[in-house]
Amino acid sequence: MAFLEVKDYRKKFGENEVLKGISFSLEKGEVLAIIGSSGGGKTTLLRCLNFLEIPDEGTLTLNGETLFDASEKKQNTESQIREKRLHFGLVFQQFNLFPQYTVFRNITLAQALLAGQAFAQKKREFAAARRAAPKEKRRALKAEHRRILAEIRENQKRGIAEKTDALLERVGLADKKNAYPYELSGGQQQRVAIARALALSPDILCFDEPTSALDPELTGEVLKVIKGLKSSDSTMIVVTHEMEFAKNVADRVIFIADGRIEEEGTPAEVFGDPKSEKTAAFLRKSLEELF
Amino acid sequence: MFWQISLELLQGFGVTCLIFAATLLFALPLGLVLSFGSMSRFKPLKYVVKVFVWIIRGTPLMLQILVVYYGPALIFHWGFLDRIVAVVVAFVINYACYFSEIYRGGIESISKGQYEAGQVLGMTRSQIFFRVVLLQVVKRIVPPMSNEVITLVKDTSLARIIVVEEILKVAYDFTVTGLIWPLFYTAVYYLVFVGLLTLLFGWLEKKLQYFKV
Amino acid sequence: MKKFLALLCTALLALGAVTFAACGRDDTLKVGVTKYPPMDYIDETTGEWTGFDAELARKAFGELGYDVEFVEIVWETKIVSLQSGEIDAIWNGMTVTDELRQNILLSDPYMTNQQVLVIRAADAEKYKTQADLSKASKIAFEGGSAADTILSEMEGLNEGQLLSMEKQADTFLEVKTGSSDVAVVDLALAKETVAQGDYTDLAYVNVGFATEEFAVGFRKEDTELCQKINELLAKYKEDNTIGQLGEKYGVTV
Repeated sequence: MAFLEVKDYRKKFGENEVLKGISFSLEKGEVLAIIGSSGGGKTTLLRCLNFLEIPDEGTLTLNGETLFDASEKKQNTESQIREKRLHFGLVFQQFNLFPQYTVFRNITLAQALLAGQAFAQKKREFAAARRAAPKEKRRALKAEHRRILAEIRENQKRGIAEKTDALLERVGLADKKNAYPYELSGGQQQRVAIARALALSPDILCFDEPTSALDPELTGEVLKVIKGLKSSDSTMIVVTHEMEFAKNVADRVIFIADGRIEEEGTPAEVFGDPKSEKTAAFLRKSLEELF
Repeated sequence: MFWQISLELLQGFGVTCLIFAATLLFALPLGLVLSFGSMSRFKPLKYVVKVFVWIIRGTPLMLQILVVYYGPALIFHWGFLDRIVAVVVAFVINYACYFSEIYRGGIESISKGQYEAGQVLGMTRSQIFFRVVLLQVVKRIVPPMSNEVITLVKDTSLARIIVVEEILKVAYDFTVTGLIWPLFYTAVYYLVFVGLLTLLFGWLEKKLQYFKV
Repeated sequence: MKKFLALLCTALLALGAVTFAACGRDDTLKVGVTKYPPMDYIDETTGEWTGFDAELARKAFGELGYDVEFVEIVWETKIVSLQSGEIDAIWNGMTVTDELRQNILLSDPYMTNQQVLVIRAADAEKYKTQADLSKASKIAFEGGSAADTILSEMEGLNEGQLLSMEKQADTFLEVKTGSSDVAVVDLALAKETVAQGDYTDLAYVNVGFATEEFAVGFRKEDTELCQKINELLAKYKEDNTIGQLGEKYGVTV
């Protein structure tokens, strides 16, 4: 069984059916490029994978576990969806960095919140343990617990800081740690956004046209970072209109048109010898735009 | 004589400040509740709040004070609220409506992307609101809020309509005994207070200048 | 957030209930007044309401077994104050008019009053008769007052000369600053005001306007109370109580 399996995803907005049954699978460490003309459903598919939209029909299996089944409404409450989201990361076209926080804080915020939840949980457990303990031992326990909690907090802090520094190094922005988003170029902002998405160590990292909002001279640095992630074994899904990038970096390519997968295969198959007439027409057109 | 009158005016100004502070204390949070109501996905609630805000913003505050004070007695024979309580109730309702519209504008001006970025990072709705959105909203609404708050200082003089002894009423009463200057002297009190508020808001704006939204 | 809202509502309701419950004791009679010397005003040393009307009201209602509580009202909304029960009577130099009679119950008149002109003392030669009013650029008076009635019925004045204001006290400022040339106000108030404070450069002139009458106002249904006050007022005229009070406060009865 493949690492990720999506089966028969369907999504309607009102009367407009945007996804008309999408199924595909992906192996661990692979990079999947999704191409297609705008309005074809690429972005909706990506948003469905991240549960920003909830598919009307279909199932998703990750690492052998059924993560999502549209027919099981009860299992799709807000807090459950929130946990499911943590398996996926998403880098937006418009970066969407938090403007009031530094680069460092942008990357650490979500980690810190999760760590805080874990910390609070541990604290509750300790308190319960103290209540269960005989009275004369409680005082000693309390001191002990306090020491452990302080240690946990210290470790959490250090862990987050070390991880964040490493991520910044990886996207080449170690010197911008304390800058605010408005002080950065678009390319730098997008690299911070990538680091932010990586910080929660998602199983699958998704990119929604990560270079579309950038000036042409800045797309290179972002694509280079994404390419660099491939060598470190991340599983990635990239919606893109950069055909060269798809050709060179992706292991597999899916062409989506009108809510359906029109063609799928290795880059060599899809770009070199498209079977569908629609794919061929799309590729011709994007080539023309290039020159 | 001058000090005596300054002191009496100061007493009146105390009432002015009381109305001001109590109004802010209740209207700031109530405005947030109303703004959530006006943005609710539950349609009936949304329209009820919108109509309410329309009525309150569409009628003079002076009329609202009269309604709050005399209404219960005239319509239901319930008796009277304490004058100052009636004034504060009317002010809180009125200003909460104005605040709610400012909040709503501020909240709606935050891009959907900010919420979605929080969502894909596994944040809860309240974490997104308090950790991501709120400060950006605050930065955006400081200028319009400072306008409203300064207007509130001066609107307190409307309390006179139900004989609340705020500073302007105290000063007006001096004219009956033949003293005119206290009336104009009240400007000093208002100016000093508004001056302090202006400094406070300026400081706040500067504090929030470290980022751009 | 919902919890907070609920809490806020409860607090406001509780506050309301407490204050509502606090009012309405039966033996207290609330008399509506404004700061209107020498009829009603606050004695600076005692902090109590006093004046011609205040003393008369305290005496009359006291004799009927009530505790009198004076409540300061806004004159423009006096009828609302009375109807809503904020006050039980108006005793504040109130001139009898047909309009008032339609809305509230009026006692028998207890004194007469007259409207006079208030001018800058320097203009004393200029305004001596009613006809001289036509020389004034602006004439200030309280809207709905006896002066309003007189001026609107007077011949030889044009609309542009008339300035209707919120209260009598405001008209003095008009004349003093020269914004208006003449104010038409109650004799008692004029007498009191031109003698003090910033207004000593003003003077009043009696140009012989028709006299008018002051009465006490009640809610229409309180006929019994009104009847008792009428009897007392007749007695006070008889035994010269009213005359003595007039002398004490410098009021011509």
